[in-house]
Amino acid sequence: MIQISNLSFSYGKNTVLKNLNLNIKKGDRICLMGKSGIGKTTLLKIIIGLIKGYEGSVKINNNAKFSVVFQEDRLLPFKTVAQNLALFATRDSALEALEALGVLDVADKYPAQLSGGQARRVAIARALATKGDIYVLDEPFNAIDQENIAVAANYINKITAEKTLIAVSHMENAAALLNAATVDIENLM
Amino acid sequence: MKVFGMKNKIKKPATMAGCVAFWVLVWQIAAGIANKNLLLKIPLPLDTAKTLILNFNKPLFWQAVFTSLSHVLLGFVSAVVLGTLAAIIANHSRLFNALSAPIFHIIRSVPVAAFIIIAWLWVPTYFLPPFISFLMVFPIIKSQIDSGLSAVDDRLTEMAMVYGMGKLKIIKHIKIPTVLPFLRTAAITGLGIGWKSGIAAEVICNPTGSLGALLSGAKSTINYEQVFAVTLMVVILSLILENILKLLWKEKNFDTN
Repeated sequence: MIQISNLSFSYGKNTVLKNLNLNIKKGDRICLMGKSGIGKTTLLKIIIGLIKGYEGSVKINNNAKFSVVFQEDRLLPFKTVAQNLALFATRDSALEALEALGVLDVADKYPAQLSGGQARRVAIARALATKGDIYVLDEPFNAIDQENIAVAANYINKITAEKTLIAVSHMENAAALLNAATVDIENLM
Repeated sequence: MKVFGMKNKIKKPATMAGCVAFWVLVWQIAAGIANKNLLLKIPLPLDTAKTLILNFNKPLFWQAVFTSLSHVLLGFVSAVVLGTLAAIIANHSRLFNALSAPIFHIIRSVPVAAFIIIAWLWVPTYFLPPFISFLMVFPIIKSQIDSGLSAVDDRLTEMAMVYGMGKLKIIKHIKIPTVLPFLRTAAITGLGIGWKSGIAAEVICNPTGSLGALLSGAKSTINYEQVFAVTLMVVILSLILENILKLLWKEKNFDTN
């Protein structure tokens, strides 16, 4: 589904990825680990097409649709939670995702009125409600309390079962929570 | 909180009325002192009010009001439309931005009276007030829309693109809502400046049947009460226009619980 060969990328003189190789098959679930600044988020951005100008090749199955939880929540500040989701998902899937993640009660609030954990769960709800082929989650559990992390992980696993999932997290148990294989990014280069 | 809000709602107009009353009193005292001196005359507030009310019964006065309003609104609306377009083009073209920068600098720094005199050389009298209003409002709108477009969060447009949102929808759902508060501020500021500069152009070039021409005529016949009455009408109309705009285009607050 995703074939990455000899991928290298630099921010100016700062090389973050060097000759990286990675094959992800349909249905694979991986959680990328590695020290800070090694290029985990950069790799995700290259996969979803936000970063160009890299060396090497990145091949992705045609028409594969991405559902992404970005490192930041990226909610539109001038739309309510419900309106944010309605832009990208059907009403039913949006409501289901909000309810499952325990944030249905904030559907009529604006992002600035939410706590960090609520905003993060809304961002996860948006990704899961859009029903993609490949789920890309960058630090999905940031700012979420322990109790809600378990709830979020369960719902992520339910919706993404049999789908491709690529996550990045600094949490040691993230891979286990997401039923994903741990991949150390340093071993790919 | 609600009680506090209610108190504030009552307090604001009362404070405003108190301030107006204070300055009317200052005016009354100043006129009383000045009028003892034969060389200096200031009409009393009551005489000014009487003259203004007398004007209300004259169809020519209302014709002047509507003529001046049409002048200023024509200039203002043209400035909003073309200022927005100029900002959009500047946002996409560095060349346009660089070429237009000196023009906007000149417009901002040359005194309005100088512009009126220069423009009068070529622009017909009727079109001079709208043209001057346009010229004064245009850079305000352009510069605020520029700021609004720069404030568009690239991370939001990236997110929308990843989720397959088209360019038109990105404009509708991300760019326009980001720019609108900037346009609102520019429109409120610009309307006041457009009104003042439009009336100034009328006073200088005297287009028939306008408030500026009435003001200029009253000055040349040394009719102090009429000068003050027409000026008062200009102030009242400016306040009405500004408040209509604020009422129709309320600021949205997205972070109040």
